[in-house]
Amino acid sequence: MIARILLFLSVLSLPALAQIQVLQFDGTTEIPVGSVVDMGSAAPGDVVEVRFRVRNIGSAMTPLQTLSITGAGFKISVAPSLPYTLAPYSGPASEAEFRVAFNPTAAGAYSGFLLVNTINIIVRGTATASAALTLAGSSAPLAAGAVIDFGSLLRGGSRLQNLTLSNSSAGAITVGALTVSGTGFRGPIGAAAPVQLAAGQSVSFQIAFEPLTGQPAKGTLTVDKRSFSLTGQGLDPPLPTASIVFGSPTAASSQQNTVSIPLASASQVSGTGTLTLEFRSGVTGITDDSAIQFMSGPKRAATVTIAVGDTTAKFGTQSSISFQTGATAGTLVFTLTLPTGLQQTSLTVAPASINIDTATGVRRVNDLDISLTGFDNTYSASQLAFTFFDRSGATMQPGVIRVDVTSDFRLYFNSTKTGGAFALLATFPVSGDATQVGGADVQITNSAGVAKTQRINF
Amino acid sequence: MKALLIILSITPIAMWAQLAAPQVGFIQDSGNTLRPVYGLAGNFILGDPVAANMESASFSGLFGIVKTTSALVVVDRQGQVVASQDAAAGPALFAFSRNGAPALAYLPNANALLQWSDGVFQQVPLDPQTTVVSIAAVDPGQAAFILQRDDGLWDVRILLSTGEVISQTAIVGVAAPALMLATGELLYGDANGIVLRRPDGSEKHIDAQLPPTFAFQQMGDGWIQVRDLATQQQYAVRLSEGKEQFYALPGVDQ
Repeated sequence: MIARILLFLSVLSLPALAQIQVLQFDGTTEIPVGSVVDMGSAAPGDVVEVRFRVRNIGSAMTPLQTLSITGAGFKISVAPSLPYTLAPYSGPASEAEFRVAFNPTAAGAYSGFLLVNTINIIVRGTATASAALTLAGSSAPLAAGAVIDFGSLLRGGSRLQNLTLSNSSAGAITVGALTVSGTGFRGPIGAAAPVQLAAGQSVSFQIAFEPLTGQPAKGTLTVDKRSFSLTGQGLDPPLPTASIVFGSPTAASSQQNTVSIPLASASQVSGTGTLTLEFRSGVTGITDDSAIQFMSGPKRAATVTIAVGDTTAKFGTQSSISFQTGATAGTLVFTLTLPTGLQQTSLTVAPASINIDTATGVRRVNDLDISLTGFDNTYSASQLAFTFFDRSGATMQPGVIRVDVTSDFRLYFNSTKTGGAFALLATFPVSGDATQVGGADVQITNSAGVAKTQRINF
Repeated sequence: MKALLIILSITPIAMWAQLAAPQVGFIQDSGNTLRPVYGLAGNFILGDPVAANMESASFSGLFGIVKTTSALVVVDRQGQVVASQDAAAGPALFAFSRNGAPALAYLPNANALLQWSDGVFQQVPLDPQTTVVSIAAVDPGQAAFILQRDDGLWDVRILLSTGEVISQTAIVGVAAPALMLATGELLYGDANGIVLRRPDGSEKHIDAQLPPTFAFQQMGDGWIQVRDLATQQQYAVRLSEGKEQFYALPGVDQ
């Protein structure tokens, strides 16, 4: 009775064991594995990898708990974390995948045992003598799939990589295929298939990396059935050195000037940047002057564009941009920001005596009006001095009439939006014959000096 | 002399109330809004728009006349409306006499010439004109028309009282656009910039990089706006003797 029970139990366990099925997967098709799997052939030093999938073909959950391989040249290169519970098969997502790598070290036949739970599979592989590929300066053969990196190179440049095919076996080898593919890569240079390699012989050749764009480049070197990845990074050449040049190198208030961005050489690439204008006031208590601005586009920032072949950066379609210096002493700081870096140049507007732009006099019936327009870039106007002259040009009494205007100008400058620019109207009530007054001179003082009008005639 | 010593007296308090932002004039910007221009030569600041949908505008320095789609409007230095009169749609040309008034307005679409004087517009009798490039109030009682004829520009003077043509003179070597000023000077452009041709035929050249298509409008006393008709960029020409210069005006999109 006990024997019958044991037999029954062992029969019950067979379906459970048979729930596992191992399949070989080539990326698109799954083929059930028999007792032997041929891993194919590989050159010594190369790696051939075969993908396997494990499927639960039963109706209950089954663990994948054993996955091992024996035999020189074989190893499990990719495996799930064990134990791995396999659900009843419902599609590829319910399978577990592992990979076996065949990496022979010398020519010959190889075999081993792959154990998947209790399923034992014989794996076999063949290593045939083949040419070893080495990089110049290295004696280590490159494995199939190895990456040959050419590094970064300016677009239009060329970089050569020396390689050697060597036959370390005792017999002759023929490399039947030796090709280079991929945009930006050229070769093989100096060798062409078929390449005959006698025992111990080697042949060198070159591959050129010649990027046509500033983008990453990928290619392939094929040596018979082995492929090697070629990679390189194309680089756009940098923008040429740019400078900031003013139409007039000197600056004063109330001027219009231009700024241009000449390039050290014709640009081989296009690019954009920004030229900003910052004002650092030299007048205490004054932080800005709204008249300081570019004359087109945003007030304090201009977009700079550079096209291939340009020798000067453009502002829109123009090779320069106009700006105003305002009416406040200080420093105009121009900052050019391009992908290649940042440059800064400044123009200093020095404090100056008051600039009188217009001075006119109007005689009315009982008044004399003196109108001045001008600017005080120090915001420190302090004293006005009027001298009236009769029609013969003689100074009229009481001579120079001085008036302290410090507080008046301070009040005005605190409220105006025109920087240091001002319009002043001085009215002098006159009793008697005003026509006898022929003209006037006006002096106006600030912290930088004294300005005087031309004779104002009535 | 002694008498003069006592006729002059000063009232400082009245004087010092008169500090203000200097104003160059008004412009019609690229969006056809009317904007004051503050500041000085080379140091311009555009003010906020005071009116929109302008078809034409001109300022003497004392006042201005603007043409909207439906009216002629007289405004003061602050852009405040002084008077207005209905007018047909279309642009207008304006002219100021040397002291500002009277002023003239010509409406090409209606071939109507109006004189602004004593606070009202009065229509001036006028025969049909060919293409009018500019008008001017050079002499009292007269109007000058700069006409584009097949053979070039002509300076045609008429009497304001009757509309009678009193002289016609070919303008040699000048192509439109051109602007005649109250002084009789003619402003026009050439390959190197702007030329101010005086009545005696002498010329003053002002360096400028003129846009491909432009028009002249008086924007203030001694200031002419050069309207770039293709872009937003606007320019100004200063005509004050000895200070003639071409300037860029700040962009209106700032």
